[in-house]
Amino acid sequence: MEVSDINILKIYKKDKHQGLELIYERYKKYVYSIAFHYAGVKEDALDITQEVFIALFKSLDNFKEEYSLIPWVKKITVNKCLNFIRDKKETISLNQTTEDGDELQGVIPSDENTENKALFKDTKKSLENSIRKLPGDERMAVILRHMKGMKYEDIAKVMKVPIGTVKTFLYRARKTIKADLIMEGIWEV
Amino acid sequence: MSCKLDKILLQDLMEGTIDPVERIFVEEHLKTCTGCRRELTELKLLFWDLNNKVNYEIDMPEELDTIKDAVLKEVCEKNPRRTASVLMEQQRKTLKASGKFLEFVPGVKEGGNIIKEGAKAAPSAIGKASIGLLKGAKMLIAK
Repeated sequence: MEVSDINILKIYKKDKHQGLELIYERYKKYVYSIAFHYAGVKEDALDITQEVFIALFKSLDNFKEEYSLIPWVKKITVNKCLNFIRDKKETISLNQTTEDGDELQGVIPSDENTENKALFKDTKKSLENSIRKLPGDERMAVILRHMKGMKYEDIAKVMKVPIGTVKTFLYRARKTIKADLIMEGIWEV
Repeated sequence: MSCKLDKILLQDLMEGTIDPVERIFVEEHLKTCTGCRRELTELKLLFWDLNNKVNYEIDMPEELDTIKDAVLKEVCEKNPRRTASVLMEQQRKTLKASGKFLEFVPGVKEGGNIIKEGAKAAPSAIGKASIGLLKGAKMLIAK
């Protein structure tokens, strides 16, 4: 049964631990998916997720029961992502080659053998890579607009920039992504 | 000859955020410009891929549960009160504990009551004494 934010906050007033657990379960996928597409690496996405929930929980006592949590969750997530400084630690990329010259992603066994799946994977991967290469603001604007389906006004609010700036971020980002996907031959145009 | 149309209008057209007058202008332009028609086709493909939720599907890592425990531990176990108030309370508890033995010393309770009563009666006793002193002083002056 879906529990509303109001009910969760009521539970939180009675039993803090249970309330926080419910909030975490409700929003973990939301926060992690934005963090992952922003950071591009699981470990970084997990770090951001942890930071978001700590910040959220620490300020929950000041939150008014009658409001929905989601705008707040969005704001904190976007803020934490944009402020996240990626560690310079070495990460293993699937495009990295082995000693024999094979790419790691080719060496790792996969159960996806059909051509369709491979094509679909290519589009997804190319899109992911292209989004990952965008500057932080543009990347966040694309994630919020296209992945989360947010309106320009809402994006402007959570990113704390004017709507015109959001439009510019999106225009530039789409131009870059389009050029990348064309270069990789994703579309037969 | 390169086209002079502001390409942002094509994105606005795709998003449905284009001004009605500009829409008419762009639609007319598209009838004659093959470059912009191609650009629009590419944008349609791009929007299809960008809006396709499947492209954003990811596996939720098991570590999310570990993080939940860590976050709850950090938030719930940490004393949310300020350090000063915690210290004050500790001090009060220490003082209370240090005087606890007095409750078991015979006569302390009665003694306490006597002191309390004495304290209550003190103002009148002091009053009487001061009146006596005043009288004595007057007598000395008279002599």
